[in-house]
Amino acid sequence: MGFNVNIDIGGTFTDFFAIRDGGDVRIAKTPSTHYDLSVGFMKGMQELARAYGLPASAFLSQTEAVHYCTTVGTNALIERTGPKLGLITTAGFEDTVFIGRARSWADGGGAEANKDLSRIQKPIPLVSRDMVVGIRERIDCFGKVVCPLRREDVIEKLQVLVDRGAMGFVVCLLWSFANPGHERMVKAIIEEEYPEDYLGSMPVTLSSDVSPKAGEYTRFTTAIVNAYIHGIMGEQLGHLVNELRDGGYKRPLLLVHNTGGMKKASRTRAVLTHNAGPVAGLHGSLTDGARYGQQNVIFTDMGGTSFDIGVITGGRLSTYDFIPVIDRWRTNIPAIEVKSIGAGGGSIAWVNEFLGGSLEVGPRSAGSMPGPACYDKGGQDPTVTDADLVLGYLNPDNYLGGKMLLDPDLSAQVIEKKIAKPLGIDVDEAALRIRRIVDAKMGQEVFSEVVVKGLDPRRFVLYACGGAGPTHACGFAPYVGVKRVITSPFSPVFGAFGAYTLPVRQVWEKSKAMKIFRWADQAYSEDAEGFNAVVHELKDVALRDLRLEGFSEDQVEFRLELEMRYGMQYNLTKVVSPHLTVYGPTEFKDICDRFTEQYSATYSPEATFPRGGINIECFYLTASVKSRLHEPEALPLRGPSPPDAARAGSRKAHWAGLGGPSETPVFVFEALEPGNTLTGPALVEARDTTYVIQPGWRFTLDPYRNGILEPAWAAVRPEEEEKR
Amino acid sequence: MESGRQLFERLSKGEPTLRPAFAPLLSRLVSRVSGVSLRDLPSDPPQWASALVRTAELLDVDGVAFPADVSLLAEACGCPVSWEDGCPSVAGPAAPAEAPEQRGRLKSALDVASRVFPGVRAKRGCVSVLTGPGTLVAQLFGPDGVSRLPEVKPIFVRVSELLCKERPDVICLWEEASSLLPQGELPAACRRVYNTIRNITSYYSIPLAVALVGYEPEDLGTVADLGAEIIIPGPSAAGVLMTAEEVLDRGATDLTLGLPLPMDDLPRAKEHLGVALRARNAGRLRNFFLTGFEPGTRDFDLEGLQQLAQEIRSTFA
Repeated sequence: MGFNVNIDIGGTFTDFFAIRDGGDVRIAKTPSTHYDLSVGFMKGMQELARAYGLPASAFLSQTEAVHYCTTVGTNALIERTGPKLGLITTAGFEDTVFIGRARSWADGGGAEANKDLSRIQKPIPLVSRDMVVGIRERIDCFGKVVCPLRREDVIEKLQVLVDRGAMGFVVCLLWSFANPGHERMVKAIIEEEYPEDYLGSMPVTLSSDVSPKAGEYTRFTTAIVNAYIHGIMGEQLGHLVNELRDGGYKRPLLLVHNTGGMKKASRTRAVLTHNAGPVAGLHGSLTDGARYGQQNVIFTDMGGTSFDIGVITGGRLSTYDFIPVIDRWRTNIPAIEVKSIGAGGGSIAWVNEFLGGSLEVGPRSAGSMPGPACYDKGGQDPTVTDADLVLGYLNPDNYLGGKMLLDPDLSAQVIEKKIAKPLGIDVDEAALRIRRIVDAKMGQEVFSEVVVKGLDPRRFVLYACGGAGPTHACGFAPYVGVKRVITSPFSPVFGAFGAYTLPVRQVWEKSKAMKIFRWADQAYSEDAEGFNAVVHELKDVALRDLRLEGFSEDQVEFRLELEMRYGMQYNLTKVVSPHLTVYGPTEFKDICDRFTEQYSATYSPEATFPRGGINIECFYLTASVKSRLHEPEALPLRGPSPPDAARAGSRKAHWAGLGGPSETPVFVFEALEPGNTLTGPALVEARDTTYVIQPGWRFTLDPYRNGILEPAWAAVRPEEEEKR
Repeated sequence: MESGRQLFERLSKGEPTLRPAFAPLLSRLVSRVSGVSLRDLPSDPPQWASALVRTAELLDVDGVAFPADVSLLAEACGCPVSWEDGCPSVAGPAAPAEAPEQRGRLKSALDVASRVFPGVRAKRGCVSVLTGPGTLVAQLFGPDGVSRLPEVKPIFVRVSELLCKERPDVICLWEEASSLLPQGELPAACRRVYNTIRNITSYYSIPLAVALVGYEPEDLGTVADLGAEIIIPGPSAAGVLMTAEEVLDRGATDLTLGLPLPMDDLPRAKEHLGVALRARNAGRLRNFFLTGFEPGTRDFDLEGLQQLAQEIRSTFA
């Protein structure tokens, strides 16, 4: 009976979700060990082994798959531990990455930093200006060679970079996505000059391989970011793979991608691993939501460091981030959009003297070291977890299933020193305010995210995931306006659970401009060959790649999306193509109709502009192999009253509007039965989280052991609202 | 044959080894090998580091235990230090200074550890040794200073994390029993400070050791309440080093043992080795390593110590 193990590394905790054939699940959480991520990783594996009653070596040797959401690359980028790279570009365009694109100084800067115009600066480039050389060559927008490449010029410029200490090369030439010939020639020259079997051999990254798309700034940046983190990721993941192998796991390590799929580490581009955990969590909510027939889901994950938000509409992950920013770098990877803000259990509460002594929470986090004050690792700053502990919501002896004992006195001390005294209030009031502020921050952010997309949050269900999700769901959900909140039993490790639900999948993309509708003669394109050539090229690459993953062609499913626009308009709309292959104007008309429909839904029917003609700008082919997931069985419903075994006494907890602390019933999650209903105020302690049911809320355990939270005022369910 | 690195890796995982690792304290011996006094070594961290590495290689020990000087932290906190026969000792109380890790010989010692540990780690284990909170508070505030333990907690938070970042195999806190166990009992405040230190070392997956000196034999069991994983019973209140079996008879069986050998009395050291071997063969002693608790004087028998290291290898072969 093999195990499928899924790992998600977060800013504070590393989460584990393991499932054995037959559906036997175990979860684990260990503090993230940023000094060496593999330490926390292996600790968690050992914990899972213990949970299954096996020695670590037996557990690992019986593990059939390890799926990993890693932050190694992102950390390397933030910490600037990458190699010294040399950039080879078209002569005259050496300053492309330094000029940036319009407001690129604000990319990834955060709302607060971007408002401080007197201080905001462009980030220090990953490739310094003296490490950029231009070579005389030119290819036009149709892929035609205008100025041929000269070998002598390349060798001369290469030597300049080597003399200046380059440890790797990134080759980014204009229009290389239309004709990669020159980039490939440069690579061949480099490999001739510095063959692999020589000590001087250096890695070469081509922008036409990493990102064959229009827009040189984002294409160059994507290639540079990939090259920058590639080596470090390879080294650290190699070390991890060796540790796993020594421990008994001999199969490949699969990495989760931010495009909503996963592949073997050896066949993953480094840049696709950024923000993979939240994307996995989003996919987890898609999978779980489908069980309820939920088409519209708001996914939230409140961890220790950040609060992630994603939106699912029409039962599909269709929201792409059009400006995916990795650290401070705008890229063009087709990442699924998940927004993150600095609001988590470890977010630090502080008094902002510059704003008249107002209380703020985050974005700084105490992380895993030192962590909240109550972790007793020397933390001196009050955090959201400290507030929750002081308010009586958390059980200091049962945090993380009792693995970590919390010290409420330390929480009270730091809250008093840093918040209560400066504000002239008592500790309990300070803790209540900390909680209120972080809940408001999260709730308002969710509301904005949904509404800005033109959606009505009242028509959505909200998934409250993350270790702190169930603890704060009743606090932030009212700001969103949803009537139903779902908390999975795997909430504390939802990113890892989400990784389990992901298929092996990759998105293959290529820019190619095609006009498929001309207003002047009201004619649709007849260039089926041109369209199909791109699709076939992408399909061939995808199939070859998936064959190397061990899959045959008949196991692969394809989906084609097209980035399209009206002629003379700037913004692009992504559309799922109704056809994988076209034969003539009929199919092109279908594509245009789909585009018009999508555009109208997004911007309004009156905004359509067919007079400009309709263009395709980029092709995205998603190739995936469906995974077989264990389907949990629906357990029979018992009555609404929890059994005696689920009752765990009571403790004093603070509830807004109820005066001082009041005795609050406490329940044990594992002993609750499907159908049991609790009315707030109440606390439900699970192994790795606590459900805080506020007054005015009702908690029901459903047949899948999901906790359903509903406010008392919500008389109607979303699906009933739809029917009206 | 297992290298020191392999021995320490197995030790930290609680796995059995073919022979115990030998990691004596190398403070005064380093001074002797380098020809530079203990007082002057800290003024030249590269030289100090080089001398430490040379000493470890000369003796071919399995682990480097450093800096084994009970006065370092107290001095960095502001205590005056007197020198007698080239050896430092704390000479008076002080109020704890800010950022002791940036002061005096401690700063140099931390620098040396950061230079030495990455280099020796491939072959040998690394043990960081520092004064424990119970002893430090007595050095700073006198024998009745236990009520002021909370004041030294921030010092240990900072220094523990600094030590952990060098990724030693063990962090050892040196405690005088009279300070750690006033009236023979472990103060709750001391337990709390140790809890914090334990949480920090646990985050870095580094076992915590307590080296206890001047204790009554019945005190050994109390040390287990500190949450340390390793106990190193030094000279007792009677000035005697207990043998393995004597320590085990006192009930300290759940912890990993660091058994110190009398390095100034080699025949006795061999007797202790024999007792340890018997205890191991009888299954009483599972996870342990050997150390040397009395730092030698400048006249210490270096060749004898080399022979002792060889003896350990051959005894447990």
